[in-house]
Amino acid sequence: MVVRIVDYGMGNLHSVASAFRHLGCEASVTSSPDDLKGAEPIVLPGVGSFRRAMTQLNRDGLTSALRAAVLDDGASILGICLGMQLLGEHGVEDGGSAGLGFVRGTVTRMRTNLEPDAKIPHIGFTTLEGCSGSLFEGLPSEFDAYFNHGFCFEQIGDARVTSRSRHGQDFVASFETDMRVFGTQFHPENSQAFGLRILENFLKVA
Amino acid sequence: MTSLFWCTNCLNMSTRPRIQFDERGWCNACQWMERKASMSWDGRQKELTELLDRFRSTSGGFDCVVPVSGGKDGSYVAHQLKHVHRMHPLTVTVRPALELSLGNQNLLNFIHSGYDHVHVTPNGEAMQKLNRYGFIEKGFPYYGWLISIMTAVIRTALNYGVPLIFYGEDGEVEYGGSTETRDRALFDIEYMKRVYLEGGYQKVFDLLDIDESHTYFFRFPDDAEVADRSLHLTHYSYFENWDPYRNYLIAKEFCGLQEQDEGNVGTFTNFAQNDQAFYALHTYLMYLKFGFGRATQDAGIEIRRGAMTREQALNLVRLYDGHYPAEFLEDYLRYYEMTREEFDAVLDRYANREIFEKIDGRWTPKFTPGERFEW
Repeated sequence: MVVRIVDYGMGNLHSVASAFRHLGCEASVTSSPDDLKGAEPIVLPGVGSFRRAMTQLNRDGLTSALRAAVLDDGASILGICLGMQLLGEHGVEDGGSAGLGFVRGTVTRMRTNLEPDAKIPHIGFTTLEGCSGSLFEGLPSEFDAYFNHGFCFEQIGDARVTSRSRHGQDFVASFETDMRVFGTQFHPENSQAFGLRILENFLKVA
Repeated sequence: MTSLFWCTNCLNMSTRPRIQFDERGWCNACQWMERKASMSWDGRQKELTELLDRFRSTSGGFDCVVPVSGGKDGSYVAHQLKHVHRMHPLTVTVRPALELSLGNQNLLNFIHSGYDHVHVTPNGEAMQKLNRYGFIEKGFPYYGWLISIMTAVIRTALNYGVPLIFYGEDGEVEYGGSTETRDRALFDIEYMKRVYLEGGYQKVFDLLDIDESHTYFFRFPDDAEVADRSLHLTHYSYFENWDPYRNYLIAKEFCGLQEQDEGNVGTFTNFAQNDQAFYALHTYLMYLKFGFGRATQDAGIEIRRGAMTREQALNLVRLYDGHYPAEFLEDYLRYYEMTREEFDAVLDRYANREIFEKIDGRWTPKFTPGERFEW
């Protein structure tokens, strides 16, 4: 099995690729739509602006390649951080743009209604709550994971939310769908042993 | 005591015309959403098939008219009818005043994606008089256009001998309002006059001294012209679960729809209502009259489709609603032939003083969105 890590110029590619290699899995970093054909698993990393990311994906022909891989070829996909947000329909950052639309959700700026002193962006280790689903197989229902984001999903209309977290507000920390579309707002590749277990679990179901 | 409140599920306000709430405080749009989630669409899909089969053209002629602007909803309906249901739609656009270039580009993209299309331009002088009158007297900045998208579309259908008109969504049912057509597929011209025009407008032509020869596209055909012709009006949203965002994705993929590069005035979305400058003024007046703007409407749609929490939506509404459409101000003044003072005086006429107060020259809400307000 080869994990295809999508390079659209905005990613934490190296740490994601080395985490998979550490697990003994072949990982190829690619920016070519042709490489996304077929059912091998795909990882969509990313750091930065939703809108800029979509502009890049659209420009490089990766948006339609990703849709074809997931919807037609049945490839499973794991979006990490911004990559998870791009799996939604719409992000409001910088005037708004459409996402890949695999799950029904809107990405908005994080609020601080529950913790007025919380600093945005949210950077650091924070507790995941109510962990469930296939990515968390063999893991405790609560543990800390590494986050680095200023935007989030508060809710997703048609996916199973498999963990939530809180920083300033309550938000979706991970989800999965029957189409094997997965997302983690946190960075499993930077979340030590539990994080690696999540990537391993992804490979098992992918 | 009078009070102002919000739907406890979405953010529809109690000031919205024709809205009703149930014992939970849910508006009729949310009640409808709830029912849609569990209802079977099979019966309505069958109704659609029967309707289409009844009118389907076998001679190469058009069998239905779809009003389009190049935007997501009309494009979606035309796409479904042509490619899924194998109908022969004639698409029709009534040109608005103060078109935007993005809207024009979207319309061209749509037409070139393979549709027969008629572009109707109602008399511009009459349109200007009606729009100006509507703005001043009714607080409808594109009153003339609102009339013509009904009258001109119906005339086009009759003139081409097309028996069926497909509008997109039934705004009353989907977004909160009258539930009269919720369980009825077809409606008639009388319903249209009553609900969308909120009463008569015939006298306006005389009042504004509009030359009769300029009114053709603003008048409904005489009863006699319609009586012996078959003409059926319906909303596509009656037949399936209407989802504006899905429409957008389909229109983007198949009909060349593009979004606004920068955000839209007064809301957080950039994929709806990009065809004319007057829409921003329309929603600003709606805000001054009723207390809710474009962001509240957009957020309500997202909440009802489960893509956003009410809290998240409230936050966006507080950020975006009630934005004075300064971007287009010069265009408005030129079009209406008004000074800034005259223009603002019209806005002042419609601001609901019970819920707004003027601070530093801008109407500012006395209420906080989402929090019951009494006076």
